[in-house]
Amino acid sequence: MSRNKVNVERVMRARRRRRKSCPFCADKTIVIDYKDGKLLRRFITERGKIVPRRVSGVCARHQRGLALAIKRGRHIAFLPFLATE
Amino acid sequence: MIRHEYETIYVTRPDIESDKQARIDDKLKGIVENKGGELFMFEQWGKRKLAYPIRRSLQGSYQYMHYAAPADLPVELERNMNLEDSLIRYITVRLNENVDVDVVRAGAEAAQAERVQRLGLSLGAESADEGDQDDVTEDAKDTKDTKDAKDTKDTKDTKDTKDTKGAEGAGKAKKED
Repeated sequence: MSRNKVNVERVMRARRRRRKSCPFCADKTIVIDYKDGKLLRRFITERGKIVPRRVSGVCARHQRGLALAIKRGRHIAFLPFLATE
Repeated sequence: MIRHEYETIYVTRPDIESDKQARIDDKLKGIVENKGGELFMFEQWGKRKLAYPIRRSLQGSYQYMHYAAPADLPVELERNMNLEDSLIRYITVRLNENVDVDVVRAGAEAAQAERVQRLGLSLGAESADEGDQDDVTEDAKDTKDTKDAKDTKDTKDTKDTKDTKGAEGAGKAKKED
């Protein structure tokens, strides 16, 4: 019974969620650049993980570019591989 | 000859002497220029905090090169970078394939301006303790002004600028001590 309740809540929450639009599609002037740590930091968690696009709302195409940029950024230490708190 | 547009960033240890830094810079610049490449821009991004320590170092000195070159040049460049102990990281990215070098050269300054603006670069004057880096910014500007007039001397100007900067940097570093 309790499990059922959880399911119902989840469905309701899902229904309420608004579809976010991709920030890179919305503003085509933004360049996804591995050198731009400030921009990329918005798409990693505090721990340093890449934010999934179901959370950030980034479209598939831009998420691919973003993931590549973040990985390059990590390599040259603009971004952390993992952040310790 | 097919040439591609590349950019390379390399990170050196922040604690090396400036003449050693200059030696590395000149060597890598020389490779680009002597092996069929054309260097459009060389930028000192100065000392920056690393997102994680690399070989116990929390800071790194960043250098940026924008150039066009045949495909085997970055290989040679990276081989040389691997030989430098105080070079802790590098990355080379092919920006565009089979480019018209003249076109890229013409747009290189605009690209630099855009880059500086977008990334908030202060071409070297990153941290307060970087006295010698202020010169870099000024020198770079001088180079730019002269460039408009004499297009063909572009890379030479840049090179001269860097050479003098290396010397000045050495002087300043001593002062800091």
